[in-house]
Amino acid sequence: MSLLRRLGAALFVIAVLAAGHALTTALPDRNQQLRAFPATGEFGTDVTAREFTVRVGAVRCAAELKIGTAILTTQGVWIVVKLRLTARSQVTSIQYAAIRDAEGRVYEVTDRFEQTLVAGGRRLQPGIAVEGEIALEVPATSTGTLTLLLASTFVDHRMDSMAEIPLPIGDVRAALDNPASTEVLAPRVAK
Amino acid sequence: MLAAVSVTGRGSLSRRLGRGLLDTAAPRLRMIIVVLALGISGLFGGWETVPAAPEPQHTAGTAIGGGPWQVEVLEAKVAGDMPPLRRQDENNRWVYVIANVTITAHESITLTKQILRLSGVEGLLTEEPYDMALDRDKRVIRRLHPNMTEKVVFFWEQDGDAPLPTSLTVLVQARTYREDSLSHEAKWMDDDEVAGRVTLPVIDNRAAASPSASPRPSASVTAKPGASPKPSRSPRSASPSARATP
Amino acid sequence: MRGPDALGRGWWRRNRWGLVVVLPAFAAMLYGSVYIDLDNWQQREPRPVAAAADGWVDFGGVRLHLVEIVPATDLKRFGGQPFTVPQGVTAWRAVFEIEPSGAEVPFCSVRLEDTAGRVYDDRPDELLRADADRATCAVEDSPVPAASGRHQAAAYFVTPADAEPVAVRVTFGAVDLTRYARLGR
Repeated sequence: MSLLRRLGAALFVIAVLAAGHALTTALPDRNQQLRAFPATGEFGTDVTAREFTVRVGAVRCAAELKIGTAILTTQGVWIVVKLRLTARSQVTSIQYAAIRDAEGRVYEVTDRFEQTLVAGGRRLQPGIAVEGEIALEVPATSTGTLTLLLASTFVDHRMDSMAEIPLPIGDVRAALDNPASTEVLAPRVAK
Repeated sequence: MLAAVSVTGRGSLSRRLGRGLLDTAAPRLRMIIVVLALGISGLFGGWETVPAAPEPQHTAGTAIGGGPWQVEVLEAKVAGDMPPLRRQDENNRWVYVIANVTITAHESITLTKQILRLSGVEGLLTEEPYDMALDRDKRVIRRLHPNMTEKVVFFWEQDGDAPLPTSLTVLVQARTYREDSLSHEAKWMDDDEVAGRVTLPVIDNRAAASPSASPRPSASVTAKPGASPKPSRSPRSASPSARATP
Repeated sequence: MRGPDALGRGWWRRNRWGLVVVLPAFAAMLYGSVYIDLDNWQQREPRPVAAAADGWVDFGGVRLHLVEIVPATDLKRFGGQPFTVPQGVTAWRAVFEIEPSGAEVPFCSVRLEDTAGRVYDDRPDELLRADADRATCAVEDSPVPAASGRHQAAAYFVTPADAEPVAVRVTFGAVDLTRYARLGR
C-alpha cells in the first residue's frame, strides 16, 4: 500500500470519529432527552397529565401563614395555590409540586408543615375531585411569570408527564404590605 | 489478520494493537501523530494547569461553597433535653451546629442532611445529623430553597458516656455537577470531597434552663418533617402533626 | 484467513458451529437486556384470571368467588355514629368468598373496577374515619365465621356517584404481581 493510501485511511477514521463527536454534541444531552413531558395549560382550566387532571382555581400571596396555632413567617413570600385534583383511570397521588420562576429556578412545596395533598399522602381515587390549598415560598425578588409544576412522580420525573400552569401573579412584593396571616385550606372532596 | 495480535506474542495486546495500527497508517509519521494528538488534547483543555486545591480551613462566618449549597458555619453548642427532639437515652446530649445555608443550585434541595459532618467529637450516634430545624420557627425541616438563605440548626446525638467536646470541626461537604458515568445524566454527584473545614469552640448550654439564643423547638409550635423525604424517617421526634386546618 | 485450511475446509465449514450459535446467543442477549423492563411492564399491566363456569376463580393456591358488590349505606364511625360519605361520592362494599387449599391464605390487596375501566383502591382516604377495615383475605379478618373450609373478605371503596362497578380484582402480592383474580359481577 502506498503511503498516500495509508494516510487516507487514517484520515477517514479521524473524519468518522469527528463526525460522531459532532453528532453527539449537537444532539440534546441526556438530561434534555429524558426530561418530563410538559402538560401545559391555563389557570382556571382543566390540565390533563398522564395520571391526573388539575385545575388551579385561585392563587394568592401572603407574608405569613397560620397553620393551626402557629404563625409561619418567611424571608420571601408565601404563594398559596388552590388546586382541584382528579385521578384519571387509576389511583394516584401528587408527590411533586413546585414553582418555577422566569430564570428557571425551581422552588418546591415547603415541608415546614404537612401538605398531604401534594406530598404523596392523599390518594386520589379516579373521578373523585379533591380540592385544597398548597403553600410554597419564593424570594420576594421574584419577577416575571411564576409557573406551577405538578407531577405524580416523587423525585424521578424522567419521561413522565408534568403539569405546568402559569400563575396570574403580578408583584409578589405587594403581599408584604398586608400583615394579616392566611390559612391554608386542607384537602377535601370537591363538591 | 487476527493472528497478528494474538495474545501468544510478547508484549501486551493493547500495545501491540496500537503499534500495529500506527504502523499500518503511517510508519514514519508516528511522532507527528503523537504531537498532533497532544495538540488536539490542548484544544479541549488538556494543557491547562490544574487549579491549586483551595485551603480547606476556614474561620467561623466565612462563606464556604460546596457546589449546590453555600454554608456559613456560625456556632457549635451542646445541650441536654431539646423537645420535641427525643434522645435515645436520657443521659445522651445534643451536639448542634448553627449555620447559614444558601442553596446555590437552581432547585430546592431536600437531602440537606448531607451538607454537614462533624469531626473531633467522640460517641456520635449517627454520622449525618439526626435532625435539622429552621432557626426562624424551630420547626424540623429538610427542604431548603434556592437563593433563600436560612439559619439552620443541625443536631447530632452524642453518647452521654463520651467526653464532652470542647471544640469540634465542621466539615462542609462538596458536590460536583457532572455526568453520572452510568446513566450519563448530569447531576450533583458525591465525589467524597470536603469543601471546607471550620474548627469551633463548643459552648456548653446544658445548664441554661431556657437557652434563649439557642434553638429550642417548642412543643406548642409542633415540629414534624412534613412531606419529605418520609415522615417515618424520624420516628423519635413524635409530636402532634401540624396540619393545614385541624 | 482466506481459502481452505490444512484439512481442506472452507470458511463456512470451519465456522458453522459459531454461525449456529449466533442466533440463539443474540436472542438470549436481547432477552437479558429487556427482562427487567418486561417484568416491570407485566407488573404495571397485570393480566386478569377469569372465573370458571361455576363462578369460582382458581388463583394463587386459593379459590375465590364473588358474593356481592353493593352500595355501603350503613357505614359507621369508630364510635358507632353513622358515617356519611361526601356529596357526589358512593361508597361500595364488596364481599367475596375464599376457599384456601393450604393452611395460610396469602395477604391480598383488593381493587374495584367500573364499567369505564377505572380502578379504585380498597380503604380510600375518603373512608378514613369510617369503621371499614382493609381487606386482608385472612381467616381471622373474615366478617362471617369460617364454615366448611370457606371464609369471606370484605373491602370498601368509593366511586363517583355515576360509576357502575363491574368487578373486584384480587392480587396476592407475595405470590404473583403480574396477574390478578377478576371476580365479575
